[in-house]
Amino acid sequence: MLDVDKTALQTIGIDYDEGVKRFSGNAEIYETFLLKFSDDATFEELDQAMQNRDYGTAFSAAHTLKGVTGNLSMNHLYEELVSFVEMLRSSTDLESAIAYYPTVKKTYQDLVSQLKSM
Amino acid sequence: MEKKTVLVTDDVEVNRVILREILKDEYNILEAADGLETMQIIHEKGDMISAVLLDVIMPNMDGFAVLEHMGEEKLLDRVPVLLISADRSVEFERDGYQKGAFDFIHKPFDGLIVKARLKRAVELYENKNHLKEVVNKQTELLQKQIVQLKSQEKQLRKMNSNIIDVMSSVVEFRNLESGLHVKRIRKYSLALAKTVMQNDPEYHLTPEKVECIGEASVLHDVGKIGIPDSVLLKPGKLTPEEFEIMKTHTTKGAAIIDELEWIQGEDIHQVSTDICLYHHEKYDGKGYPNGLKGDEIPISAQIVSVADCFDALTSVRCYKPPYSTDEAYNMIQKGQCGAFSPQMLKCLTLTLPEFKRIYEQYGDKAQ
Repeated sequence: MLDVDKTALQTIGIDYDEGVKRFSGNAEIYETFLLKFSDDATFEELDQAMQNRDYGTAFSAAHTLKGVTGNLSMNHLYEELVSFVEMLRSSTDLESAIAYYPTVKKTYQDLVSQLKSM
Repeated sequence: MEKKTVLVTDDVEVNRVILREILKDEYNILEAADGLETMQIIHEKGDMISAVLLDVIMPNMDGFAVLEHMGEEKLLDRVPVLLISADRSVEFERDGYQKGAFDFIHKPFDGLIVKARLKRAVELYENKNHLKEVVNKQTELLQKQIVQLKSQEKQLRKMNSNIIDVMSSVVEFRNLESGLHVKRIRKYSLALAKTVMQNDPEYHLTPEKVECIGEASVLHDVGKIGIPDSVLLKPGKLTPEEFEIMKTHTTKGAAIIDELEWIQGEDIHQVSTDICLYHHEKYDGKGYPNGLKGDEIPISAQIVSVADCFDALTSVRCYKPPYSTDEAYNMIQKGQCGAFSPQMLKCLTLTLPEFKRIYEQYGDKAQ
């Protein structure tokens, strides 16, 4: 996928150049992992946990996801996850977390469907 | 130069891959996906590992548990652990440091920063470990040298002791004094000096000085070797002129001591000189050769003076029988052998039992 559409990626909040740089210039590996992201099961875990109101597991999953998206320069989703994780961290702010979750979910789903089409 | 080996642990494959890409040019990379695997690799290849990059949130065994295990196995002293985390909270960092982490690497990774932090950690520990080794070797070496030095010191002391023994044997032989007299003087002086050390701190005696006085006391009459037979061996009372000659055994003794090249320690040189010169000085200034008064007389000479007096009184002489130890004691206390300092007299009282023991064992009549 070497002639990748960087602008397309930008619309879903992915900074392609930054990502390649993080992979020490190895564009091939970066792209492989971008595509693999859709297969990642962590979001499933998060979704399940939120449905079951298991906020402990949700926190772990969100935290992991945050790390991955950060490393893949999926900055838009990353930023949202940062806020989301903090809300989940404090057990007093769960209301905000629950309210915010749909936003995070949408961003994720948009990103994954865009990636699948590339 | 050989590449160093680094262990990268993270349950998320992407993270491991990124780190591998960043580090593979400079390091050999070992990978683990959870805490158990990490510990396994450490146990197998621990000696080769220069650093561990450790994710915290992992299934089966998390990073903190790994840290704890490593701490228990005393590995944290040798191997730096850099915790990987997306968590920047203060409690998290505090926890990490408390458990023994060396540093933190934050996600998302920045290649330059990761390499820089890792390099510092690896180099620091390399130096630290190397230094430890060097220090250990040095310490070993130093300890060996100390043992050697101690043995040499012992030998030197022995040599000094031998010199003194030889000298005193010569004197005895010439002087018709018995070998036991020399032994007694040494023991009396030593015992008295110990008492002075314990009771009269103003004289600043130390165990080393006490030993020195004991050794040197033996030489107090070495000067007699310079006195002609006619005077030295005269059976009767000495004329005033003869007495003047006899008195010079003090200064002659000092001159002889001066000639000797002491192998170690000016102390014994000084003390021997003092004893030879001044063991006939008296507290009231009526002694010889210089008529020193009071504490002008070095303490070493004062001590040997008492010992010499006591021994002379309790020994056989051609002009008198020996006095008993009690009689000798009383005579000295009453000043019948010249004046001694009140401190000396007090110390003599304290040491009398020991003097009696010495006399029992080494007195002339024991022969």
